[in-house]
Amino acid sequence: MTEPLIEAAQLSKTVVTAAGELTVLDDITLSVAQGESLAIIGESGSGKTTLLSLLAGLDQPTRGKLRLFGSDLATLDEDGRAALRLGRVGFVFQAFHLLPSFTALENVAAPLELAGIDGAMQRARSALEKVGLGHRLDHLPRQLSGGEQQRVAIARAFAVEPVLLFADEPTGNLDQATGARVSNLLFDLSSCGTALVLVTHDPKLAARCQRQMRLDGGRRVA
Amino acid sequence: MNFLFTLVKHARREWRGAELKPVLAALIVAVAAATGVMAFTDRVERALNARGSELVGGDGLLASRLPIAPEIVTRARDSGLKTSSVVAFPTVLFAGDLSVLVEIKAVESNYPLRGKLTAAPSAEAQALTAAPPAPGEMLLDPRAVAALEVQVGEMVDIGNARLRLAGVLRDDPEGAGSFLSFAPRALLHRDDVEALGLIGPASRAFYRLLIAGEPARINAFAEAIKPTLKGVRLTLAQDAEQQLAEVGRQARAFFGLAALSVLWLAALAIALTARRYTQARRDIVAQLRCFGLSRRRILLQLGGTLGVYALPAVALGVALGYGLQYMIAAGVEAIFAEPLPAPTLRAGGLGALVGVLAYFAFTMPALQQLTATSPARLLRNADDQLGWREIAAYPIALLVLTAAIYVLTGEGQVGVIAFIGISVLALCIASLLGALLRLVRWKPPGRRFATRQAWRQLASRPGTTLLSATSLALALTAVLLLGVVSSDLIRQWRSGLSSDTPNRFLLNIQPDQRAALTERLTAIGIEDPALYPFAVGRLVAINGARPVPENFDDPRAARFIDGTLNLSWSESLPDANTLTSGSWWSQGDEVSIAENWAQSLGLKVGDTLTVAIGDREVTARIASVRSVDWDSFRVNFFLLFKPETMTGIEGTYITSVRTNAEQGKALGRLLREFPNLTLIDVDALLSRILGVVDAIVSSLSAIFWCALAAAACVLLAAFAVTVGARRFEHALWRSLGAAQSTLRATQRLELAAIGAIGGGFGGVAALVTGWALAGNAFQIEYAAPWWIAPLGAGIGVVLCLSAGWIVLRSVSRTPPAQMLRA
Ligand SMILES: Nc1ncnc2c1ncn2[C@@H]1O[C@H](COP(=O)(O)OP(=O)(O)OP(=O)(O)O)[C@@H](O)[C@H]1O
Ligand SMILES: [Mg+2]
Repeated sequence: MTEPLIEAAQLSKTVVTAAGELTVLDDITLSVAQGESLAIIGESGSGKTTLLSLLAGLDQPTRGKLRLFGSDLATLDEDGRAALRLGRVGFVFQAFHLLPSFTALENVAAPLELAGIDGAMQRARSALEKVGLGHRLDHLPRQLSGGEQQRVAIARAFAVEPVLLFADEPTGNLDQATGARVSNLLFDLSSCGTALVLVTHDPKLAARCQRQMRLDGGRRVA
Repeated sequence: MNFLFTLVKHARREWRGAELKPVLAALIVAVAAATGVMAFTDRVERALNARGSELVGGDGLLASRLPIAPEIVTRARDSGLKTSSVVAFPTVLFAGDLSVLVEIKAVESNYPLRGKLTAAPSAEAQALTAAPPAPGEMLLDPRAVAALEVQVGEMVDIGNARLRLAGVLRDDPEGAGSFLSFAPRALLHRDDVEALGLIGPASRAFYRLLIAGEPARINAFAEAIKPTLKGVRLTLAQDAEQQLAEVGRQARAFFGLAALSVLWLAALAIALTARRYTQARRDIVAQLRCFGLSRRRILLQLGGTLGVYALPAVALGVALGYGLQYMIAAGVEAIFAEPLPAPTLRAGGLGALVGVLAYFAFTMPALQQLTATSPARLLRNADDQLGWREIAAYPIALLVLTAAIYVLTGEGQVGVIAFIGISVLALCIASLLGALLRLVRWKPPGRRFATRQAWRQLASRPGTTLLSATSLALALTAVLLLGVVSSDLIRQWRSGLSSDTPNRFLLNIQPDQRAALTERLTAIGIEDPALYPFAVGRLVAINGARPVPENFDDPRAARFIDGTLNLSWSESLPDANTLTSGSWWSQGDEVSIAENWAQSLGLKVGDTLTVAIGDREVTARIASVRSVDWDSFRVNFFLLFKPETMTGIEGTYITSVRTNAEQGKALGRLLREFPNLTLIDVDALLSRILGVVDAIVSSLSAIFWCALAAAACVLLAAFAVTVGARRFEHALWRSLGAAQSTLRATQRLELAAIGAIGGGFGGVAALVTGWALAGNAFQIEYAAPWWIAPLGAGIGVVLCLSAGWIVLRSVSRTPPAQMLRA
């Protein structure tokens, strides 16, 4: 029952570039339990985003073992990993990644629809209201500012009420007040049992997490 | 040299990128259609021009339903002109048990005055220049020779006589018959006509007098004779040539227009692809501009790459165009008695020119826009909105293309009308679809995620959806209308006729033959045929004054005034006639006239008409105006007199009957007994006319298949535009946990919906057009082939799925993590 949501052991990721092999992540071991919150910090280029996408099963490690929701990701194919995420994992991308031809509301409703959740539009609307965008429901991403797009991305991530939420610099583009409001939302979720994995440069946000982890040149240093 | 090398290298890299495939496909289709149509219309025009001077058989021609007055012949001779008289009439030839309906042409020994008469010793042998038949001989069209199964040298029965077959007729100049030949022809000598006993005062004979001489003399004679001609039509060879040139011009305009629709669609595909091509390079160009590369240099490089690409595509297009040209010609060639002249290289050149023009006109706006990219673009992440300059460039390009077609087809007005018409249709389809899409976006139908998502995606990319569906709809409308609806309409119209509509006319029945003929007809199962008296006359005066064609607005009035009139008389109002004003017979000399005839000549009840019949003149008051159902294929007359008014006029009788195949044959045999009768086979006539319609439809269809191909190119291009966005969306949906199969199904459903909607619209538009045609032109209850709507939808689905498979296959292959690293 109390099995961790994420169990990673000796994860490594190397990529082949024109200049030869590049080790992006090296020997990372971590675990995240239900309702727990983890902050990943580190300099730019230290491998934070790469680690996040490995943990979410978006990418595959070169070496190491990774279990998500108790399933060994190495034994699953693309579809299997996608099915694992469906309705249980929220993801806030560093570059937001909204569907450009969909409105804010449709973007937030997308994972709800996908998971076949009833009243998707209703839930999407209240999620957008929570991030203070109740008046921008029918706007396309290109009609929104960077910070507004980020809030839409956050609303999309928590609208499914995920068991596990990944967020890559969720407050990076926001002013202080909005940033505080968004982080409050995230920790409200956390207190309701959602596990949080955050990448952030904001020491205050990192401090609110139960655990912190520092990366440097792809290695875990703290 | 170095530059060229770079270009080729560049082009090869682009080819692998496959980005330019739609543009090449569109270019090939455009060039092929342009070349095909140009080559074809050029052949038709040359065929017509070659015939022009010969068609008349002389430098001029006088034609009448009555024998040409001897004074006219004398005057022509006195003016220093050569003359040759011809009489033509339909009859039936017999050889043993076989018979065939032919058009007889009795000619003099000096026939023809211009052009060449050729005949052959057998159906297979080479044709040689021939003399006109001597008395006692005839030349016979190969079709008639085959029908009678006779050899040259054997005897053929005609009327009361028996003539020797002297040769197989090949090329006979005079008369339009050789161009649009409805019945096979037989040539015999003028002196034999009397002995045949086939020509009465009211048989369907046409009399012609050919004249030839120096142009000045011809013109002087024409001027002098014109005012004195009554019921005789004068045609000069030069006028005939002009008329033929006009036919050629119309053909060119008609087919050119069809080609234009292909070009427009192809241009759309080219413009779309070019835009995508340049947009993908905007960042690079912005950087190059930052580094200080000149606009000219960039334009040369990119334009050059596109140009290197165009060359093989144009060559392939020209080659395919020549192939297409044979397909187009195959239909129409059947109408011509002989093969069309060979296609020229010039048409290929013109086709290539049009294609290249379309290519440049529709890639330039995008290229221009690209080179105008400001380096500042790198700072703002500007979205790819159309700039007004670019938007303005496309109508200009469209205009250039239309102008090119105008120059090449010599037709502008029709092109503009068609352009407006197609634009309106496209706009209608697009706005209907647009409304549908808004509705769908607001509340996507379906329970399954894939279904709802497919609808939502359709609605979220309205540009692509509308463009693809509308292009598809337009092309499918044309293809289905020509391919299915038109032939179906004609078939239904024809089968609608066949219930009891008369299909044979018997003319020239002598008064004393009436009883015997009726008895024989009854014997073969044709009960109680209505025999109408029949005479030929000429309109001499309206209310006592001689009518002048120039005084009437309606151009048909001239034909009624100068030509001959078919008259009849009857105690009772015939079937298929209803009075619209006046009353049936009362006091004095009276006549009842047909409504359309009354309208052309501005006549009303109470006016008087004077008609010359033979050497008698009859004046009668118009007692009534009748509306006549001309489509009934019954015997109908413009002028119907009161019997008392016509007392003393020697008429013949005419009847129309309905025969089945068996009775038709019996009727043919009956003519042996009544050789003077003229039999007109409406079925055969109709088949010939419908054959011509079919030929033109099948020729046009060949072009509209190209339009469908061009629409497919638009699909390729429009889908290709979305590839980048789809890759990204695919990755994102995967990150949200969507299964590959769900996303594939979504995309397939989306494409299929575009196809079904566009194709369905096309099918419905074809149906509606067919239905409107049925009501207005054919006036029948049309049992619309409703299945062409689903057929159209089906074709649309297949096309869209195939186009999607070609350009969107790669979308699902991109791993999500790679896509989302940004
Ligand atoms: N597919 C790849 N190909 C080449 N290099 C890669 C690839 N994926 C990651 N890297 C490299 O790995 C390093 C870590 O990248 P990552 O995006 O994880 O850094 P980050 O910690 O998220 O940085 P930032 O704080 O700037 O977002 C970078 O130097 C990046 O260039
Ligand atoms: Mg990062």
